[in-house]
Amino acid sequence: MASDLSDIGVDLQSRMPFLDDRGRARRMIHKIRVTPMAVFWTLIAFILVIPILLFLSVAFSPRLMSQGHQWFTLASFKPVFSGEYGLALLHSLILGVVAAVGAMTIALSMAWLVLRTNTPARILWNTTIFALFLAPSYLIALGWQRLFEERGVLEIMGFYVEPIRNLLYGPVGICLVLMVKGIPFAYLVIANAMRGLGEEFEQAVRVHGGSRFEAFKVMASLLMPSLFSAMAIVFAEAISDFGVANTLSSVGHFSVATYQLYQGINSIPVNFPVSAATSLTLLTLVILAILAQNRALRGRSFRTLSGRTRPATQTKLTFFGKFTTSTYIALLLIIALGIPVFGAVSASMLQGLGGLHSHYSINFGNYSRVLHSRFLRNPLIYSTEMSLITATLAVGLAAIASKVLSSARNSRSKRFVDFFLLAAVALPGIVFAIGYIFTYNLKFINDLGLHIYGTSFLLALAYTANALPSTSRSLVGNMGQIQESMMDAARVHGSGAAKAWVDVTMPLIARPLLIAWLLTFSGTLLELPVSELLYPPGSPPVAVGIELSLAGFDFGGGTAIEVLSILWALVVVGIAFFLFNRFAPPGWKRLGNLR
Amino acid sequence: MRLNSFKKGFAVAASLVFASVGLSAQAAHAAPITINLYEAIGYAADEIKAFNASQSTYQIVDVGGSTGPLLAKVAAEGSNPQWGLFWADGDTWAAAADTAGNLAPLNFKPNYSSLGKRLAPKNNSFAITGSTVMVAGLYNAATLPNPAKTLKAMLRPEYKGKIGMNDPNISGPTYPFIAGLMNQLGGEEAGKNFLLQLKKNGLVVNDKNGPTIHALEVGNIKEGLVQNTAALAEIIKFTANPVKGFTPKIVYPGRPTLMPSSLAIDGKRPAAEIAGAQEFVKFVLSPAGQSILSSTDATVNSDVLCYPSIAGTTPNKYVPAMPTAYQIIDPYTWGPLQSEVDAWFTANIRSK
Repeated sequence: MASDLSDIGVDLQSRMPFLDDRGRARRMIHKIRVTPMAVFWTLIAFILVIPILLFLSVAFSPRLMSQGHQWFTLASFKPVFSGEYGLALLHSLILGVVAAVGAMTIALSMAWLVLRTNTPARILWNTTIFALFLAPSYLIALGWQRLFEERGVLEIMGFYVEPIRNLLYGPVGICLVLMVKGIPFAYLVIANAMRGLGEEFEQAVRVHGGSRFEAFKVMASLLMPSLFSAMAIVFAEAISDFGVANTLSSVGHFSVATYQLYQGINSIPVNFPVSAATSLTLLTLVILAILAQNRALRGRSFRTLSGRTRPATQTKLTFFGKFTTSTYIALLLIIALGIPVFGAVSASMLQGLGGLHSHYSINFGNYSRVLHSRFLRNPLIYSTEMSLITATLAVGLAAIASKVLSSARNSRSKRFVDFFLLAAVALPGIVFAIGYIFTYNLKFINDLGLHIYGTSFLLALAYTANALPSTSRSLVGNMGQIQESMMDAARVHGSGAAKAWVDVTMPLIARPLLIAWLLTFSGTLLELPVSELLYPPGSPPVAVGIELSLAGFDFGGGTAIEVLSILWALVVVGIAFFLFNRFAPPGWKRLGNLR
Repeated sequence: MRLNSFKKGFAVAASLVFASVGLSAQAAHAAPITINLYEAIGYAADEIKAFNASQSTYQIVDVGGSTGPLLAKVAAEGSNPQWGLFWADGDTWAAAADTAGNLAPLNFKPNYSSLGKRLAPKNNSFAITGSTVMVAGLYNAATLPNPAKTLKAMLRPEYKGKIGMNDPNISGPTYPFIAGLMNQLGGEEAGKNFLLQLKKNGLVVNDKNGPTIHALEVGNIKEGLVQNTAALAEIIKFTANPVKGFTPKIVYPGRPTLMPSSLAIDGKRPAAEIAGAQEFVKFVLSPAGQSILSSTDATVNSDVLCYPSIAGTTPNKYVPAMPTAYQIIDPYTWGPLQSEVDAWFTANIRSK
């Protein structure tokens, strides 16, 4: 083992001098086997469990993290249990459920149309799905506002939109935006699972006299793990959202649970105990969601993906079918993508739009200006590097996490991973980042000679932890479908665990892995809350650059940087797909391919 | 996996993680002495660049961000702070840090102007680098020829539903406005009563300056109570590209509050870093540092639109005359009330 460590450049003995003094310890090291699962659990502990627990502990024990004088108190729960907060919590719960069910339903219909029919608009959807991921909620909300606000675009065009505006600036609008934000997450989870489902089960229903609808119901039942996964992640994303809810609640003053959390963080002095207490209530909602998921799936098997799985054939639609389904997809794209694009264009290119007057002009002044901005070039390069590292790390960990999550046994480790992955989503990014500071800025860790707070290394770990839940969820549907007997067969025939995984599992999930990688890359590139608190001094990521531009009231410049960054991410996505289609072995491409 | 081998694996993997990260960490402290500046000031990067170029003993490293997240970062660092300098709008945060005994006082007497002397703390515990006004009433002169010029006027029926302001829970500079309101009306209760009456008269609450100004642009409100730099940025923008029907102008209702920008030194850093931080503060307040205020393009960096605090400094060309009447509030008195006032605002003004 010692030679193994020196092979990878780690001088363990100089870092841990006490090992020199203890021959017994040295002998023990020789006996130790580092297994992939041990590394996985260690990383989960250090990047997820400890930061989350340390942050939450402040709710009970402010003194533990130097946030107060008491070792134990329940005082921070007082505002949380006020009537007002209870109402906000109820609002968050309703928003989360509606957004989750809505996003899942739409995503399921889209997955079926795109993967199982010859509707012409499916090409449009496939080429724009990553743009949906990249549309920041700020631009979605901005786009809606620009359209429906007083003397906004639609009113200038002569439409009477006041009733719709009143709906938009309240729970209906908030729900709509959160649902739209959730659709791409839910779609990827469901589509990946549907790709691996094959058509045998639907054909069996049809052969036995079942209707098309009954066949669809069977397919939906077999997709249950991914449907619940999709709902769980959209729910957790929705209840932890603050920006959208707060932007669109200005007229309706529709309170959400995260408001209290931000209030604690923004006050002077900062009140982390109240924020931690609020986070605990959000986690309670997540636990309820997990319990519902487990109850629904208990005792059933959904393993359908094997080496014999055949890609499904496409349903040939009539002209009317093609027309209606294409209209549906186009409408959805207009709502999901057209409106944020419009928000971006109106903020970065159009002069005079947004109710000031009836004439406007397009110019690229903001774009040419920001090309030389200190907030664009270096920050974008840095963010790209970090996103590449994060995506690779996160997909590696997510492959293992999704394997644990999709295991047939409802083991303790499965419940543990499930809870902490969803907890990481339910806690807003800023809270997560604070947990990281609590953990990695501890004096005793520094005294050990470990100064990782304020380094790119810690930022990459935090990005990875932040991305892990969605990345894992996007893979869990596929992992849940893989028949374990294939791996067993490979092992029986002499393959090691790693070789069996590469030879058997990898071809089955290559495409979902690529998509998960791209999803993580895209999501990390513009990530703000973690970036803002953890970036290494002197190396701001591009999201911080955008924030600093906007803070200086340079709305046009800030939005232009945002749009350029999104375009850059789309270029990377295009390159990755090109390389996969050009160089991946044919077997890797077969599953999940449209044809 | 057997439990034993799991524990062993865990121990070695943990050691590997820490050992490998330790390698990268050792290079973190090298000459020149580096000092982290946590800042939410638009022209801080230019000050850092000029200071680093002027000497080679110290290297100031920029950690820019918004005031709220930066203060959260400092609070999270707790008893093991990593910041050497903190520079942001407002002085309540600096007063709180001073009260907690976390600051290193300046080791020199800045050459404050008469305004700077009034804003600066008596114990010289932090520096005042300029000031802005909280709040300016930004209004559209094309549609509202007679804006509300006093606090009382805002309660008149003619302004019902026409006044907008920011939420102090989201917008950092809004608390000094509310504290100032309470100060000039005779106390916390009087200020709260005024805000309740304003709410009865249809007060519109937005998150922060941007949304409040946009509400004014689209006609949702007629007069927005925002930070004067945000209001000036709007006026500069529309003076350069005039738009028919929208003529933004500023009025100062009542006695607005001057909100200083504060630059503070962490007293818990090593002595060498504190010495470097003192040099940086000296530089910012020197003629060379102050010249950045006038030489920076205010159309893309509105933070230079502040009133200088140092004698002899030329303000940016876009900075207008000061309001005829203004007040300065004591951050040591009003700072500790912020949490309670913000929570009250949420429950009574922001909610329906």
